[in-house]
Amino acid sequence: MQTQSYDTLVIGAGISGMQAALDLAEKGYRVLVVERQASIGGTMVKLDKTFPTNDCAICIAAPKMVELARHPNITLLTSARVEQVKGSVGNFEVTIWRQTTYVDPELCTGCGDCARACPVDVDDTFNGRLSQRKAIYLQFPQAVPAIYTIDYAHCTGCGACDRACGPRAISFLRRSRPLRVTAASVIVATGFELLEPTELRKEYGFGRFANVLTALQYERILSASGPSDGHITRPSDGKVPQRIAWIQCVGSRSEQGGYPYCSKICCMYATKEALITREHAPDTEATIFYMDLRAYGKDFQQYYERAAAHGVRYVRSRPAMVSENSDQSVTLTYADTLTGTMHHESFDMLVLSTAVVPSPDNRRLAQALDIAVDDHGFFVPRDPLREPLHATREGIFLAGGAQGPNDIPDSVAQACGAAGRAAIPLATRTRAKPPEPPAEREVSDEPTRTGVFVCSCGKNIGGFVDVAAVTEAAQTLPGVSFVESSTFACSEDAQRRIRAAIDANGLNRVVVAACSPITHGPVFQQTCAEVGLNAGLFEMANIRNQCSWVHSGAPGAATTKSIDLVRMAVARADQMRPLTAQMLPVHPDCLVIGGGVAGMNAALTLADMGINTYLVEREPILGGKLNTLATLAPGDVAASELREQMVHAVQQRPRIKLFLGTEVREISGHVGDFRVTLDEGIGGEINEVRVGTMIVATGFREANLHGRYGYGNEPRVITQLELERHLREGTLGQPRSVVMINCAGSLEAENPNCCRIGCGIAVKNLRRLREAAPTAKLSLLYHDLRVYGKGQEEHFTQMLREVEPLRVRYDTARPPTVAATQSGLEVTVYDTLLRDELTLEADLVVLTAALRGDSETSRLKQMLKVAANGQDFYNEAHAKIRPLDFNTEGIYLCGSDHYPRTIADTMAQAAGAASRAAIPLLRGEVSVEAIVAEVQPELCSGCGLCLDSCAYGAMSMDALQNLVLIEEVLCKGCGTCVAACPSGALQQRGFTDPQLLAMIETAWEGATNE
Amino acid sequence: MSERFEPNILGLLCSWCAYTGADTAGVSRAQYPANIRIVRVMCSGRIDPIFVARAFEHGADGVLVAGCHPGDCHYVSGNHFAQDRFATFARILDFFGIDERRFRLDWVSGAEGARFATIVSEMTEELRALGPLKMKVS
Amino acid sequence: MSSLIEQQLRERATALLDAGSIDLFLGYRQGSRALRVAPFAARSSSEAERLVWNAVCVPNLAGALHKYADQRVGIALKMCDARSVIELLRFNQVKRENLHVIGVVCHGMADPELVEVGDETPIAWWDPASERPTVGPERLLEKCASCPKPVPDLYDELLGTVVSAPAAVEDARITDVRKLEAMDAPTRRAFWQAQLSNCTLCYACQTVCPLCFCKRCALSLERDDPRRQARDMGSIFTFHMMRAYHLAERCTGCDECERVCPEDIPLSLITEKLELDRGQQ
Repeated sequence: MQTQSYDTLVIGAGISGMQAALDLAEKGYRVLVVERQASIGGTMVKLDKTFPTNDCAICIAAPKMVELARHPNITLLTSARVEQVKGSVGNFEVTIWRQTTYVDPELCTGCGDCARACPVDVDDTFNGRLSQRKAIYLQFPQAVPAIYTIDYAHCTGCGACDRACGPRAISFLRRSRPLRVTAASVIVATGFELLEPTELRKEYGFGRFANVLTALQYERILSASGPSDGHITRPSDGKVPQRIAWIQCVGSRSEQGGYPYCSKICCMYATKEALITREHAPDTEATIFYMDLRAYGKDFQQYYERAAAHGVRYVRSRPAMVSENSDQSVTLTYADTLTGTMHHESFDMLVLSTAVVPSPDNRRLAQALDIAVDDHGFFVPRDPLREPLHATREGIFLAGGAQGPNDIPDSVAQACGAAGRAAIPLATRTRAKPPEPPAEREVSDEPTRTGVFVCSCGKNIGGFVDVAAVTEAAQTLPGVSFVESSTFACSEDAQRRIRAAIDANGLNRVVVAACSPITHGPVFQQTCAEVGLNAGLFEMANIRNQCSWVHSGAPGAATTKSIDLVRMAVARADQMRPLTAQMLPVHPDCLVIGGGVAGMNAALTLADMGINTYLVEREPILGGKLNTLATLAPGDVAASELREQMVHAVQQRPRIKLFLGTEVREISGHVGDFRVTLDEGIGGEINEVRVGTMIVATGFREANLHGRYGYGNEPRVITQLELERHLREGTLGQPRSVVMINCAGSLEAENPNCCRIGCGIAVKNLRRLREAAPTAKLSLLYHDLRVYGKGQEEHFTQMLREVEPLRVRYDTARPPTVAATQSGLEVTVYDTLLRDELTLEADLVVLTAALRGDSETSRLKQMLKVAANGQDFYNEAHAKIRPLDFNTEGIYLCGSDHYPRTIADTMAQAAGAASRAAIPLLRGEVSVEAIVAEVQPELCSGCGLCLDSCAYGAMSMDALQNLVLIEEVLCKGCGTCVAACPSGALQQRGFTDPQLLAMIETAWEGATNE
Repeated sequence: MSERFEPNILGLLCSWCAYTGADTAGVSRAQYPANIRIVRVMCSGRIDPIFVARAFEHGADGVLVAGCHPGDCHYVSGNHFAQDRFATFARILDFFGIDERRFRLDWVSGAEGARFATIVSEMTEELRALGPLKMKVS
Repeated sequence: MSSLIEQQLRERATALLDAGSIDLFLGYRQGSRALRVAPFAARSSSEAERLVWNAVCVPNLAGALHKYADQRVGIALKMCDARSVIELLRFNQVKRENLHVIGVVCHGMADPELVEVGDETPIAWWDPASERPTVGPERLLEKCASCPKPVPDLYDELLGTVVSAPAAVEDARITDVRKLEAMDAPTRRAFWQAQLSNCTLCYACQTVCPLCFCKRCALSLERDDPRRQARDMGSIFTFHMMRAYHLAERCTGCDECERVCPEDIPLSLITEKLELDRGQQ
């Protein structure tokens, strides 16, 4: 048996595994990805949309899937599992079991003839067993690889598929076999599952009552490719439900009824499902029964409020039991915890937001890898505070749902982080060179020969648009020399056929009439590139999102419109010219702004990857908030101890050059070549450094509460950070009665955010206060208890038992007031549970203040040319799948300057940002935006009308020649300058006037309106 | 027999917000009349008023220009330029007697699929009532 | 016999040319028809003797400047022409250091179209005492009748004197624009449809415009474009609307476009509208 060697083994190919693999492969490391299922994609691809942006989940995951499958540095094994890992970091010897699927991947075209021939119906687990598939099947239409699989457990061996298979891809003689490989590091990203409450929490009737579903099943019902094609219907009778309810925390936050931890994502996915349900069918009543509404991520609270404003009803309650009625509706019995009363209410359908549970395979895998799992079966980090991504065996790293509940951006951040840490043992290895771009065919002298490929997208397009008519119409268009339709144009098989058609017919323009160029354009561009056709010669007509899906009630009009869109695309194609992305060398060093936990860990990770790093800190000492905080959760580690450890580590690294007491004064340049002016202040030096990438880690601050809750007037009203300092320095004294007020300045019009970490800080500090003042009366005033982070729920429950604080729930619409009395302070609060006003005596009031990004954000964002929100938190490139990138290339972010986060999350993110920032540095080159503006000097009159419109400083005036100049590396390709030019001397490549006008002028060529 | 007049509408949409919003309308199956033909540009700042004029010249009865909400421009300020330019151009259209309802500048975020559908529906209704532009008939 | 300004202009042009401080002097010469003058570049003192200044010095000399890029130009500018030059300076189309401006006080120019037959010597309309045309406001150019400002905003030296307060004549163009604005959209459309149906897309308006400084006009159609040959109404609307849009921020209302339009399309309504809208902002 031959042994292949790789740099890193990634186990699991959900969003975390895919991200980790791509991050490493992009650096030039060779990655082996092992996935248990037949297709990659994991749980994310089962979801309909993602909160809080309502992005279509498969639409944002599919490009990553395709990218992974195509990456020259990635080898993908599906239907495979890791059996054994021997050896040690740098040289793991791995045994993998490849389960046969009885289908030859080289021969299968994904046509589906086999499945049509198969006589066996099997419950479709991908669709939550709400529909059936065959014993030979493709998991879902966009599956990667797009190869059919035989489900051996259900196959009767009748051979019908074999007889139906044109390319003879099926062989029952194909055997499962072991495979041996070596790898220097391992990443475990095996994901999670959602509890099926047949045993635990069976009082809700799951499995017994037809219309009680899990939330994951409901995702499939919402999904356009789900069992009901996206129509919301009841499983029992296919009727449209009028009243739907969600029950939260099913199996979570309960020692007795399931798992003690908070599953973290359920409040938001239930909110999303309810909101989308009401957007689909505005008459549907949607009710969510919840304990605490944990909308604690960035923009989550606003999303929740939007749902509430859209008529989603939220009931703070404890659901007790569910019974089924004769019409198969269900009646829910619950206690309203705001009123303390019991209610019975009927619903047509009930959705259970069930606990995030570990994959059942985790324990086996833990043995194979010799790493630890916790009591529940999640993999545990060897140090949850400092090294949240390291498994308990050196060289093995953890990411995503494998180690506990995580949402998509946190999973992606951890995946990047794991990739960063896993790259450290690879630092001395040789990396694969970036592949040479495929040789391009010279087409400029050729007459236009356009190929049009029309996609049916299964029934998504074909169900409403007459694809044959579109195909026929395309044949008559000028310049078109080839037309073909396909079931799924994005399938691997269809891509092969496109390549073949380009070759066979000498096509020099390609138009795909399918879905959105935003989600799928790059896939087809890559396909064209593989046969030498420049990406700029490709165009899409979006007949799915703009025709079939939105005009499903008017198939005739949808077809006419599709034909128009294809005509427009073909007209544009005739005007298209090749686009060349210029390659630029990259300066190999990195700059990290901010010397707190995030910045230090980013710098450490970079240095250990072999990258020279400048670390800039405004204060004269490193540490950031570690210089203020007392203790850190989890583990009650003293902040000073962690600070010493990290600062020591930084000082040990010769690759890290420190600039303390230094501010960033000026930034110019672009990815690959930033020039940053560093100012050490009065008496200090001014340095200019050149770096290829930058990481921003500037942290957070408490919002200014002056004048509110007596803060600023009463010295005994302090914030949590001030309390931390007192606890750290022992200057608290002996308070007799402490009132802690959560959400001070949060959840209000000016700052609608939930600060996410405030509840956890309150829990931690209540315990510290109990230690410092054992007899003091401690009170906690809260709106929702949103304790966040791994292990925090358990920590919280323990705190309640040990500290026994008086708990008062208030509503932020009616916040508590603090007044000074002769003896001390008096806090008045309206208790929404007792429905009464309470007055609490206190000699110390601690405000859990709203958090904001650093005060320097507004200055820094201008220099960095990046965006931030109203609370000074930076805006990432994409809320779900690019949480660590800025839109400006070559700049990354981590830690609480993005949104408040725990130390553990900050550590993970910092390692992740380091991984992201290392990609251009290790590749050694970057490609520049291809669709930049250009000047045609013979037309430019030098009037300068365009100059003001550039937000990126890419334009200047050559006074000598009276010409406008564009620095292409700075141009972002918006085209705003182009529209400012009256003479057409400016054009945007890929979006030229002739291209756009060609579309506009042909839009109604076929129209009859006069 | 009087058949209902179906106006031709051109949509000039920025890729990051409005076009994505139109995609979202599709993903969420929001239904709207099939009268609009969409041209994607990277930023509403790219949209030259001549695109609008040429659309009218070539058979459009109405034109929708849509970009990111003010403050949300993916390219910092492109939508501000669009706003300024089309404020001027709308006055000129009006002066030449092209009904102001035939041109609409609006903002649609990537998440606002329903809003996009509403805008197109509204505009289609208005233009149906207004009748054809008949720019070609002299 | 000539006006005082004319004599002074010739003297100054000659002096500047002789001193070598300019390469040419841009003014007017007698045109081929009696009541017309033409822009003229004098390059020597003998040529300077051909310069004229009379009651019909109508053409906007700013429009000729682009021909003399990178040369040192002396130029005689009335107030309205100077406004165009100011715009050209703003858009980098001329260099101030290459320009020597002789501002000429102007109390309006006579409209040659309104001349009575038999009265065809421009100098006969010139009042040597007040250095202004003798005709009343009704026979001045429309833009001059209501012009409040005899002195240009840009000059290196100034000829002529302000002799009287300008006539407070209401600008008829404003009234016309307001009338148009008051119409409903279909009526306004019909008005323009009727006017523009005469347009032959000859582009004289664009050619004469001192502020159409593009090297190639993106709005004009090629000669062989079927839309131009067919005088496609939509293309005509596009051209005039877009021309208005391009000039919205810079048109100075010199009315050269309307003056040269062979079809007498009231283009000054458009330019006046632009100015009124600018004033509102």
